[in-house]
Amino acid sequence: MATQAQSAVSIQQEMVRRRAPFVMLGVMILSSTLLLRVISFQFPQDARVSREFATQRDANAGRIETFESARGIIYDRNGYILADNRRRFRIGVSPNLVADPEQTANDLAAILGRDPVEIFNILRSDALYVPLGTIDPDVWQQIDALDLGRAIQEERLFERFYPQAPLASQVIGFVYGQGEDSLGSNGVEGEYQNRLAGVIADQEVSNLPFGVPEDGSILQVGDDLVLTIDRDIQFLIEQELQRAVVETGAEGGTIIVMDPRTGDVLGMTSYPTYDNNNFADADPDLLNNPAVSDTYEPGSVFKVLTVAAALDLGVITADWVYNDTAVLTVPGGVEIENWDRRAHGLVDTQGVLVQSLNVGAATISNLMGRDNFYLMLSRFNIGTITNIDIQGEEQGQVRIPGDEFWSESDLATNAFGQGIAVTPLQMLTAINAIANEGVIMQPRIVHQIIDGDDIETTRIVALSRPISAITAQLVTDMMVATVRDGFDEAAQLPGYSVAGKTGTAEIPDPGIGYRDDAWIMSFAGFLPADNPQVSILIIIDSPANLENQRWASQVAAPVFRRLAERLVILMEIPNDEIRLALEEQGGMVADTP
Amino acid sequence: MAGNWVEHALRRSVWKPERQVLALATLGVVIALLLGALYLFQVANEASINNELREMQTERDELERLNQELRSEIAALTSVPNLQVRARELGFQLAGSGQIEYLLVADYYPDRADTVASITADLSNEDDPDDYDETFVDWFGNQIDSIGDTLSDIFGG
Repeated sequence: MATQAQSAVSIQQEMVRRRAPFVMLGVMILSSTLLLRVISFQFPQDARVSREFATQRDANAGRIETFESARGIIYDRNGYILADNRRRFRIGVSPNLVADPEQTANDLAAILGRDPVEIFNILRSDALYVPLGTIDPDVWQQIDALDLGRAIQEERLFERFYPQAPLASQVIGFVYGQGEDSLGSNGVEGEYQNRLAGVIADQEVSNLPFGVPEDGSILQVGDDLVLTIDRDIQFLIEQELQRAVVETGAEGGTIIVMDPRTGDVLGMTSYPTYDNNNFADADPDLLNNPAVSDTYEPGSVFKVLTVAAALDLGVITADWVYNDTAVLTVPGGVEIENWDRRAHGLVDTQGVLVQSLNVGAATISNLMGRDNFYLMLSRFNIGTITNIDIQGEEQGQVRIPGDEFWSESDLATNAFGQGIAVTPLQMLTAINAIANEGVIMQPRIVHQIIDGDDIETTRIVALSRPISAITAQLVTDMMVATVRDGFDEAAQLPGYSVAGKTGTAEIPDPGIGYRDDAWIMSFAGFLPADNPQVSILIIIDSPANLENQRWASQVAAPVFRRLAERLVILMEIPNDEIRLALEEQGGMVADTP
Repeated sequence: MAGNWVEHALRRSVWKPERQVLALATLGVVIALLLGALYLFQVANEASINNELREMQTERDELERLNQELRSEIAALTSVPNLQVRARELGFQLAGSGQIEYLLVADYYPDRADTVASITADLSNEDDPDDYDETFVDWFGNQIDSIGDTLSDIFGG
C-alpha cells in the first residue's frame, strides 16, 4: 500500500514538474504583455489615447491661464512717448477656499477701501468665483502679502495710458476694454489695431513642482509706431487753436501742419477735443478727428485750385484779363457776386486771388468748361479719400455733371469753394501740390513700424502731378502776392516769404440753404514760398462778434502768423535773407542764444 | 493522500537561496535604490531650479512693471506743459522770431563727407594683423631659441 501511495505521489510530482514551466511561461507572457502595454502608453500611436491622456493630465496636473502681451508703444517723430501701457490686476475670490472669512473680509475691505460687510457676504456666498475688480499694482502687492493662496486669483492686464494727454487725442484715438476685450478705436489706435495689439492667449500652466513654469514672455508684443507728428508742433497748434477759438468765441476749429515735400503730418488738431485717458466721459461727438472725418465748404481758398487748373490747361495765362462787373449770371439764373458786391473793372489772373473775386473765379471755371473743371478737381484728389492712415476718413462731397443734384450753377459756385465739401486734410493736400512743384504727396501719419529689431519705414509716395512745376510756381507767386498785397496781410511774417489764401465760406444749413449768421474762416498757406518746408491750414468755425470778425483775413490770417512765427523757430527755418545766403554758399546755419 | 503529496511538494520546493542568487538580488535592490535616489535627486533638483525660475520670472515681471511705470512717469513729467512750467520757474521765456539770430558760417558745408576725412578711410589705412598660423613645432622652436638667447646673454657675455 505504501509503495502504491508513494508511486502515486511520484506521478503527481512528475506532472507538476512537467506543467510548472508552462504555467510559469504563461504567467511571464501575460506579465510581459501587460508590461509592454504599459510601456506603449509612453509612445502612444493612437491619437485617441493621446487625447485621453492629455485630458487626464489637464484635469489634474495643470490649469489654464490667460496671458496678455503688451500693446505697442506710440512715439512722436522725435521719440517722445504718446501712448504707453500700465500694468493692472483683475482680481477675484473663490469663497469656498477662504479659511477665515471674517478676518479676510476685514483685510480685503481695508485694502480695497470697500465695506467689510459687503466683502464678508461675498466670502460667505456659495459662488465658486466672485470678481472683485481691477486694481493697481501697489494694491495687488498688499493683497498678495495677505498670503491667501489660491483663494485670491489675479490676472495681469495692460491698460492704455497716454502720458501727454490730451495732446493729439483725436489723432491717436483710444483703446476701450481690458485684456482680451481691448480694442483700439479711432485715429491711429483704430487704424493700426492689428499691428499694435499684443497677442492674448490661453496657456497651460503646470501645477507640478517640477513642471517648467510658463509665462507670457513667449507671446509676441504689439508693434511700436513712430508717428510723423512732432510733439512740440502738436502742442503749439493745440495751444494756438484753443486761444483762437476762445478769443473769437468760435464754435470750434481745426489746424493741420504738414511737410508738403513728404506728405508728413507734423501736427493735426481740432477744438474742442477730449482727453483720451478719460474718453468714456467725453462727448461721443468729440471722439472723431474732424480734420479727416468732417467736411466743410472751403470758400475762397478753393480759388487757388481753380486758377491753378485753368493755368495748367492753358485756358488762361498769367496775363489773362477780364472785366469784373460785380455780378455774373450763370445758366439757371443764379447770380454770382463778389464778397464786397462791387465791380472791380479789368482784373488779371493774379487779381482774382489777391482781391478774392468770386466773379473772376466763376468766369474762369466757365471758360474751362464742366469737363475740364471737374477733371482737374479729381486730379487734385478732391472728392477722394487721401488714404491717410487714420481711422474714419471721409471723402468729401463733390457733385459732378450727371449727378442727380448737379446744376450748371455748381460749376460757378464750386470755383470759389461753395457747393462743394472737402475735408480739411483734402484741402491742405491739394494746396501742398502747389507748394511741391505740382506733385501731390500721399499724406501719412505713421513714419515707422517697429517689430522687435525690424524697423519698417513707411514710404514717401508721390500720388500724382495735377499741374506742372511751372504752373505751381506761377500760382505760388500769386499766393505770395495775395499775402503781400492783398487782404491777407495779417498773415505776413517779417523776413519770410509766405504764400497763402484766405477763405470765408458760408455754412450750409439743410432745408434753408446757407446760414446767414455764421461763416467758416480759413487760411491755407506755406513758407518759405520759394522752398516750402511747412504748410498750414487753419479753420475757425463760426466766430462770434461778427463786426470785427467778419472775414477770414481778420480771424484766420492772424492765427497763421502767430503760428508761423513759432514754427520757424521750432523747425529752425532761418529768414529768407539768411536762408538764401546759405543756399548760395551751400553752408549750414548756427543759431545763437 | 492528496494532502500528503502537496505537503511533500511544498516542503521540497522550499527555496534554498544560494549565495550567487542572493548576491544578484542584493545587487538588483541596490541598483534600484540607486536609480530611485538618482530620480528623486533629479526631480528635487528640477523642482528647485523651477522654483528659482519662478522667482526670477516674478522678479522680472516686477522689474518690467517698474520700468513701465518709470517710463510713463518720465513721459508725463517731460510733457510740454510741465517743461514750460519748469522753464518759467527757471526764468526762461519763449523767444520770438525777432530774437533769434542766425549766423552765417563761411565755408562751412553741411555735407560732412566733403569736409571731414572718412572714418572708414582711416581704418582702411591701418595694417591688418597677419593671420595666426604658428605650429606647435614653430612655437617650441621659438621657446628653445628664446631660452638659448637668454642663456647666451647671461653666460656668453
